[in-house]
Formats: sequence, structure tokens, C-alpha cells
Amino acid sequence: MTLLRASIAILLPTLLLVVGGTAAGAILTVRMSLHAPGAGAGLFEPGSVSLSSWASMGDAHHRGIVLTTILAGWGVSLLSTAIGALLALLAVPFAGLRFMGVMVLILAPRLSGVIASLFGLQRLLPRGWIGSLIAETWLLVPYSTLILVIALRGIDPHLVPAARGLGASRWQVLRWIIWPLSLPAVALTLQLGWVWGLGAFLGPLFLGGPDQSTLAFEIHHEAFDLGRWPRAAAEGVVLMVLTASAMAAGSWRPRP
Amino acid sequence: MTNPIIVRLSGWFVLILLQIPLVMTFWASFSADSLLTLPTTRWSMRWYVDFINEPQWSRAAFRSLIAACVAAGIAVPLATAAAWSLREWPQRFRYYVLGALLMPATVSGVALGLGLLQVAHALGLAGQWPCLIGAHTLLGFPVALLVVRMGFTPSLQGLEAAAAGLGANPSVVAWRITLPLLWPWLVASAVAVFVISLNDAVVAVFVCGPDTETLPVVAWRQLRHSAGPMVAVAGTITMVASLGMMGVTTAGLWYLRFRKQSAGGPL
Amino acid sequence: MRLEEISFRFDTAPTLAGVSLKVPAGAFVSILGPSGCGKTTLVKIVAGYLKPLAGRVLLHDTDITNVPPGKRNTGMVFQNLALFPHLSARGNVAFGLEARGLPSSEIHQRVEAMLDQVGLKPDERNRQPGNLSGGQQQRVALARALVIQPSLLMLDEPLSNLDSHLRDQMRGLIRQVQRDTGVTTMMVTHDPEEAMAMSDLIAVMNQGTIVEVGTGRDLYQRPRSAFVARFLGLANIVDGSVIGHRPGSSLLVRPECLVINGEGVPFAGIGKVINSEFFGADVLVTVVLGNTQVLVRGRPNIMPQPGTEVRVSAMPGTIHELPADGES
Repeated sequence: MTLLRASIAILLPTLLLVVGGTAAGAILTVRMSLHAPGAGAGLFEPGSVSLSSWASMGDAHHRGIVLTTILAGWGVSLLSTAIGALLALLAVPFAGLRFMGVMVLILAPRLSGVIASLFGLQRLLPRGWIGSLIAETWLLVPYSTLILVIALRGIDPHLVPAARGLGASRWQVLRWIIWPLSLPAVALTLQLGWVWGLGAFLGPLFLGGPDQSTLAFEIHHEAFDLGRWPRAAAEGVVLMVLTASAMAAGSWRPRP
Repeated sequence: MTNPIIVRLSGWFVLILLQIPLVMTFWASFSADSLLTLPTTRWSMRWYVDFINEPQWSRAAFRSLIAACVAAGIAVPLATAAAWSLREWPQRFRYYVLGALLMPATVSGVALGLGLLQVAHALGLAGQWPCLIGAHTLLGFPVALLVVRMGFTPSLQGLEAAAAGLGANPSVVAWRITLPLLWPWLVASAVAVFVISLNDAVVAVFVCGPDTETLPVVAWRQLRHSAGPMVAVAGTITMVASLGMMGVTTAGLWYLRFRKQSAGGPL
Repeated sequence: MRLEEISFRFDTAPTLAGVSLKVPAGAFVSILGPSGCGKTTLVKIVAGYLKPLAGRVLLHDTDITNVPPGKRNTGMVFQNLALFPHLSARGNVAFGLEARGLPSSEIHQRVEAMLDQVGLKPDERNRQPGNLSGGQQQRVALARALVIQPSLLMLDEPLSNLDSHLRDQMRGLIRQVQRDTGVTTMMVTHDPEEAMAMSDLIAVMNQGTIVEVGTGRDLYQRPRSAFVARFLGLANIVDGSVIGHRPGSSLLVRPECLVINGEGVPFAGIGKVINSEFFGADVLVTVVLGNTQVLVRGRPNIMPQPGTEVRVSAMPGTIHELPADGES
């Protein structure tokens, strides 16, 4: 019992710091969204209460942004899962140092840092929704692949030889064995891609055109370029709600 | 397992495509031209010399290094303590607590940055060092926790039970058994937090003030307007630093694992 | 089935050096050997999962060395069974037939017939492997390998994951199904009793070669080397030779062929008991005779205490002379 009490005591400050920090941020964002916009150079009117920022959330401009954000979520989700599956299938048959080598190449976009990635992507990709979708996917693919590689390596290594020995072709092995057994991991990468895509920021910022504005991009734009803090905060709340509902929807499983 | 030939070919194709942006950055950083017209044929180190001589860049690089080290220094002990004490929590609470601790990882970067900026404002710390350090600690903590938790294996639990059975009290078990067997995981999680902090461009944009701008933030400002070769240099330097750090750690842990078959590490 | 001079060398699997073996049609042959001797490598080569460095695999006089596993028409039961966890027992058994694109009515009929034959009850047939007991899983694996009507069935340590009671039961089932279907069978095992109880022929392997082939009785009673003698059971091997034969060879006598204080058997020697162990059906007594130790398996009612002196004698006709060059 003393051990339990000690462990609770040890965890409490961390819990307060981590949960408190994140939650306080969310709560203060909600409060900020209820401020009146500042007059002149001011960012917001301290102490004021106003729904003016929320009133603008329903206009055509914001409806378009929310739609783009949701589409980005689905696009990144599908694309990163498909590419991740391809790369995971490529990596898994290797063993030892060769496997490590392929994994380093797969993880390179993550391991090499965001500046190098963005610089190269900006040089290579066309501006527009295709470029920004590819850039977002490119940044996520290492994670998706990692999840799928772990799942594929968890499959009993004898199942594939067993299926091949029973006369199944390579495609049949993929369809009848690998695919059904990796479905839970595929669902997880789809969810991860969805949540990640909803927060799409770097892609639209560096590669998107004026029509590819997502919520995350708009938050940054309102806050830093236009200095309208309450509006940025209201958009932030919308983004948090979208993300939370995506996570809730992704965690739902049909009961057996 | 062998895949259909189409799967293999397209896999290799995508894997090569994946590398092109990085090769591009590396290449551009050694180009002698100031207008980034690729492919270049003239090579030079002049941008690296400028990078060191320009205080805006070299200071930002130094700041990034400090922030990454301090964030790792705070996040890893916190994560270790959290992982250790989580095991003692009753099963039905444990997953809720774990979920709460992983919260920073579930909020998208921009929302987290926006929220932390509000907190910093409320505390009067906006744009100052504690704000940046706190943000990066929060950003790295969930990953550090997940990595350290992987180290608490059933075999480690068995060894701890054996030590307790020999009469060691919990603190002796923690210091003499748990920590010595856990340290490869601690190194791995420290490296993870370090790399996350070094490469954070989203949260940092929100929480950095003029005196705490990290390397990605400076590169970011340049990228939004006219990407000069200095961005490529900054990118290549962080790329080499991140990859080098990971490589050295991986090699070190690999070597240790083969030299003495210990209780297992992150590899 | 015939293997000709199979050689294999790879850093992740034991080496094989010129393995040749002939398996008569319809026979049950066991490959018996200690772990790491290459017996599993050999079976993987026969099944087509590994390519030999040299040599040929012949099935019904057709060279199948370069035929991929799925085209060899061989069935295999893996050591861990490798049942597909997401398919029911029926789905597992039907897999090979579906891969061959047979009409579903025929698949259904053959699957049910096969499951009847291995004795899986109808209410267990829709369950996934995770909800089946070890014995039931074994039956499914056997049915899955046999339903494709293979010309050769391979069993890789099929009983090693079962407890001893279930093992006895499955041993009988496998042998019975094998007799009923008449399929030529090759089983890998490290358990000599299992090999002797089930097989028509045993091939003993050691360090990448087959050291001896014969019936269980031959190998147990008249092995050609001390290695085979020791691997198949407890053995007393003493220096000496039959009078008139070449000197320098050694003699094998099994513990159950020795008698303690026996009446009417030729005298062998007097020694001191240093240990005796009780096994229920018999006792095992260690006796020092001169400068050697011998084991004697006796009836449980005679259990000499350590320290006592006993007379040890051998039953007539039970001493076997090992060839002089047979030591390995």
C-alpha cells in the first residue's frame, strides 16, 4: 500500500505538468476565442466577452476551410496508408543488417529533420493541393510504415511458407493471409493519417496556394500575420473538436 | 516472404522517391551559386562559412542544441518516474492515466502551440526560455514515456521480484536493479526527445520570442519568403546531427547487446 | 521418394554433407537426430523451402529439386502447426483446395470427409485455432496437409508441443490416418521412442549426415556405432571383443539385458552399487564393475541400496559387438 501511495505521489507532479499544461492551453484557447478583437495594434481586448469571432466561423470562407481540412485528413490518411503498406511489404522480408538499412531509408524523412525535408520538398513539388498533400504525406509515411512493419513482423513467420506450400500464389498469400492479419494495424494507420491530415500545416504553408488553406494554416495566419487572436483561437477550438471526433470515430470498433 | 514482383518494384521506386528531397537539400548546401539553380556543377563550402559567421544562424543553432539537451534532461527523468509508478497503479486506472499522459501527442501541433502560447501569456513567460523548454518537454514526454515503458519487460519484473525476495527495499531495488537494466532504454528515449526538439518547427513558431528563436524557426522565416542556400546548410547540419546521433546510439547499443547478452535493450 | 547426395551450406541453418535416402512408397520414415544435426534443414529442402547446394530430390522418379513448394504436391505439418489464426478449422483445411481453384461443392465435401477422418467434431469445425485445444489444432494441421492428397507428407516435430498424455493419443492417430491414406510420410523428431513407436524405417542423423538407416528394432539392438547406440536409449558400452574377432572394438549391452543376482545366467562380475533410482515400472541401478560403471534396469521389487555388493550378469545373446570404426 505504501508503494502505491509513493507511486501516486511520484506521478502527480508529472500528471499535473503534462495534463495541466495541455489542458490549460485548451481552456485558455477557448477563453481567448471569447474575447473581443483588439482595436488598432492590440491583439485582443483584455477582459472583454464577445461572440464576434465565433460569428464568423459559419461564413463561406470558414466553411471552405473546414471542408479543405477534412479532405486533407482523408487524403493523407489514404495516401500514407497505401504508401506505408507498400514500403512495409518491401522491408519485412529482409533480415539483419539489410533490414536495418531499408528501415533507415524509410525513416530518413523523419530522422533527417524538418528543415532539410521542407527545403527539398519546396524545390521539387508544384505549388497547389497536390504538392501540399504530397508534402504532408511525405512527412507522415515513416510513422505509418513503422506501425505496419511492426504488425507484419508480428505475423507468425511460418504462415506464409505454409500457405505457399499449400499451393497459394503470391497474390493469394497477400489477399488471404497478410491482408486480413494486418487489418488492425491498417485501421490504426488510417486513423493516424486522418488525425495528422486534419492538422495539416507545413504542407499548405510551404506548398499550398490560396485555395489550400487548412484550419492549422489559418490559425497561424490569423495569429501572426493579421494579429486577430480571438479568431485564431476560435479556429483552434474547431480544429481540436475535429481532431477529437476523428480520434473518437477511429477508436470505435463494431462489437463482435 | 516474397511479394509479387509489382509490389517489390513499386516499393523500391517509392523508397527512392522518398530520398530525393533530402539529396536535393544536401546538394544545394554545397552549391557555389547563390541562385539555387540545380543541377549545379560548381561546389563550395562558402555557405557553411557564412553560416558560422552570421550570428543569426549560428546563435539559433546553439539555442536549438541547448533547448534539445535541456528538454531531454527533464523529459526522460519525468517519463522514467511515470513509467515506474504507472506499474503500481491499479489496472482499471492505469490506462486512463496513461491516456492522459499521452495527451500532448494527440493534440495537433498548431493547436498545442496556440494553447501553450496562451499559457505562457497567462504566466507572463511568453517568448522566454522557460516557455520554449516547457513546450519541448511536453512535446517529447509522450514519446519518452512510450520508449521507457518498453523497457519494463516481464523479465525485468521477475528480477525485481527476486531482489525484493532477497530482502532489498523498494529504493534499493530501483537503484541497484531497475535503473542499471533500464539504461539503454533511457538513452534511446533521451535521443528521441533530443531529435524531436531539434526538429520541432510548429510549436516553436508559436512559443519562441526574438531571443529564443531556434534553428527551425529561423529557417522557417527564410523558407516562407526566399529560400536561400543558408536554409539548405541549416537543413544539412540538422540532418547530419540527427542521423549521426541516432547512428552512434544505435551502434553503441547494438555493440553492447552483442558484447554482453544483457536483459535486452531497445534493439 | 529419393534423395541423392543432398548438400547444403548457409550461415543461418545447419550444414548438410551429401545426404542420400530412399523412402519406399507408402512407408513411414523418421529422421531422428539431436538438435542442430540438420534434420529440419533436410525436410525444408524436401518441401522446397530451401534449395540444396548440390544433389537432387526425386518424387516418383521425377526430379523436383527446382520445383517451388506449392507445385510439389507435398503436405507439411509445421512444428508450431502454422494454422492461419483468422480462419476457422474448416477455412484452414479448405485453404489448399481454394488455392487450387476447385469448385466449392467439391471443397466442402473433401474438407468434411477429411475432418471426419482426423476425428474433429462437427461443433469444433467453425472455431478459429485460438479457440481449439492443442490436440484439436493438431488434427486440423494434419487434415490441412492431407486434404490436398499429397504424394508425400512431412511432419516436423509434430508432437513436441503436446503434453505426454496427448502425445500418446496423437501418435496413434497420425499412424492410423497414415495407414488409411497410404501416404508416404517423413517425420522429423528428436525423440527415439516416438521414432521407434511410429516408423517403418528410421534414419539417424548426426552433424549433417545420415549415419544409419534401419528399422527401430535393428537400430536399437544392433546399431553400427556407439553414437546410434547411445542416442536410441541407455547403453552400456565396454571395451572388448568377441573371442576370435578383430580386437579393439567395443561391446554394447542394454541395461534391461543385465540382471542383478540372477539365477541361471552366466556370471559376469561382482560390483558395488553407487546409486539406484525408482521409476515405477522398473528401477535403474548404477554399479561399479572394476574400472567401469554399468547401468542395470531391473524389476522394481529388487532395489539394492547404495553400498551393497551385487552380482551382475548378462542374459545370453544380448551382447552386441560394435564395429571397431563405428565410434563417432
